Amino acid sequence: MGDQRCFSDTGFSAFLSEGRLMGTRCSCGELHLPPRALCPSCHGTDLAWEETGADGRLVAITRMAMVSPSMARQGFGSENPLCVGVVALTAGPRVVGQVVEIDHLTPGTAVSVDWSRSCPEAGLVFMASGAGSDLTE
Amino acid sequence: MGKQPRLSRGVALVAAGMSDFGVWPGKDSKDLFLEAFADLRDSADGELDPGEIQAAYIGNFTNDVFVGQSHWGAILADALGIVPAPVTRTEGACASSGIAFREACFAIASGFYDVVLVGGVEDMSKRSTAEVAEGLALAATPDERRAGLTFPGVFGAIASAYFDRYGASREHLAAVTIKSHLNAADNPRAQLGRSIREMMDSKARRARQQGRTVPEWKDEREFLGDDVVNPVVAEPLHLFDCCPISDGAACLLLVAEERASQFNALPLFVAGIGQGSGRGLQAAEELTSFEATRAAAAEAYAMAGVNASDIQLAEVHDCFSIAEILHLEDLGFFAAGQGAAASLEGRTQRDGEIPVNTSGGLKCKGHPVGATGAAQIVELWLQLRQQAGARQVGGNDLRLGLAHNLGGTGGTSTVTILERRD
Repeated sequence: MGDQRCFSDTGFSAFLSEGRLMGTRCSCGELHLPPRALCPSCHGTDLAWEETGADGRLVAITRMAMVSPSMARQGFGSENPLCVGVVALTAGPRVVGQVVEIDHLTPGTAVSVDWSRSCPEAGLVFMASGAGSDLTE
Repeated sequence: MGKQPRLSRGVALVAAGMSDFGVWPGKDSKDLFLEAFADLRDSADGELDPGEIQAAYIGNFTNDVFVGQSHWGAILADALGIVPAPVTRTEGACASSGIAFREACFAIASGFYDVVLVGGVEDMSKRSTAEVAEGLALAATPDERRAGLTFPGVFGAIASAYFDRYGASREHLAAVTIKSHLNAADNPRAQLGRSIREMMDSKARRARQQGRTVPEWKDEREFLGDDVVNPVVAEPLHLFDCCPISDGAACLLLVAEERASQFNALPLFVAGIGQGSGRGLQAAEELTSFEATRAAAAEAYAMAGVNASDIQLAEVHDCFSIAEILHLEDLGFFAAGQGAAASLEGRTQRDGEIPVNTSGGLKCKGHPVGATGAAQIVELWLQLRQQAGARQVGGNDLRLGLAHNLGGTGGTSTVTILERRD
């Protein structure tokens, strides 16, 4: 049983492009995101894919006015700051991703994955929880 | 760690030097390194014959990217005229020369070499600020880079977590910045060698001369709170929270303890060294503390047989103002969450209980990344030997100094404790 994809960034990206946030669960109980082929906690290799859920809360956030040339080519900069946050997922693991700008983004803000923007190239993009609700409900 | 860490043979620092740090359009890595080496030769007693150098370890992070040239070990061996002595380049992002120092200690302690040169060099200013930010971000973790983080962004995020957890604010960061500038104003080798007050006065003077409205800032904090002169870089970090882009080099001569007096009548001794690794924002234990620093410090303190409270001055890796505050806590000078208040209360000033970054730190002395770890030790060399001039820490009984070097999002950290024993 279970998906046979490699426990690697490649496997993680393949799931991401299908709109699924997948990590690895070790038999010792540790949940890893992104997935790992070797559990850093028990050093075991008895692992299985597990969907982590897309909700969490911001634990750190920055709004970058000065960005790298590649982000500038995507339109980010002093007029359109790039927001990047660290998100503690409800499932446990912490992930880094862009955050769609809203006023008063502070640690503690509830966020969830914005599947319309997340992709293997950009990684995870988060938005304030409920921000897309007027479209989907 | 199972047993007491120790070096099986003592290691002494007998000479130290650095180039002026700054933006040097006409100098390359070789020029900068030779400038540092000339300064090192001046610091030794008598003539130092480069032919005595049996090996060298030299830190460099970005030359492959920024100047398009690799293999600096061999290039610098030739420049120094020490071919065929082996020269090894070490890379651990901004901790590259902290690593070089530690490896050189092992090379001597093992008994294999008696005389080893340690150094670091970086040539960064030929690139634009955005290119430098992108190049340095090569040392971030893959997930941090995918999200578009540069290091100001990484430390901006860390600052937000610190503020949230401990209730600190930009006022605390400003205290670090003001102190760095005050110290650098007394360091002739510093890139930004002016106090905030001097900068305020000069801006006001220029406005008056040009007939513009003369800006009025009540004090340094109000100046730093003015978004026109201190624009945001990566919230909550502004321009004056960030180190500059620098060119520079530093080097140190390490020898077996029993050979020290041959090179210098007042050597310093390596009391403790430590190095650790860490995991970046995604996997780190905490966002407001670097596990690599805690491990490196624990190892160095254990080797030296001292505690944080025994250290009399420290050079710490203040690539950003918030970083200095975290390091004060990780190194054990203040409890977790207390580094910000300690900075605001002046406890890390030159006349405070633990003077930190008397050189001006990375923030104002400059941060040619691969040279930084070695340059921090140059400051300890000057201070512990009472040669730091106007910025000399008071009291004649300075015996123990600590240098702390950090790479990436805390991915690598080294701690070095030097002792004066005469």
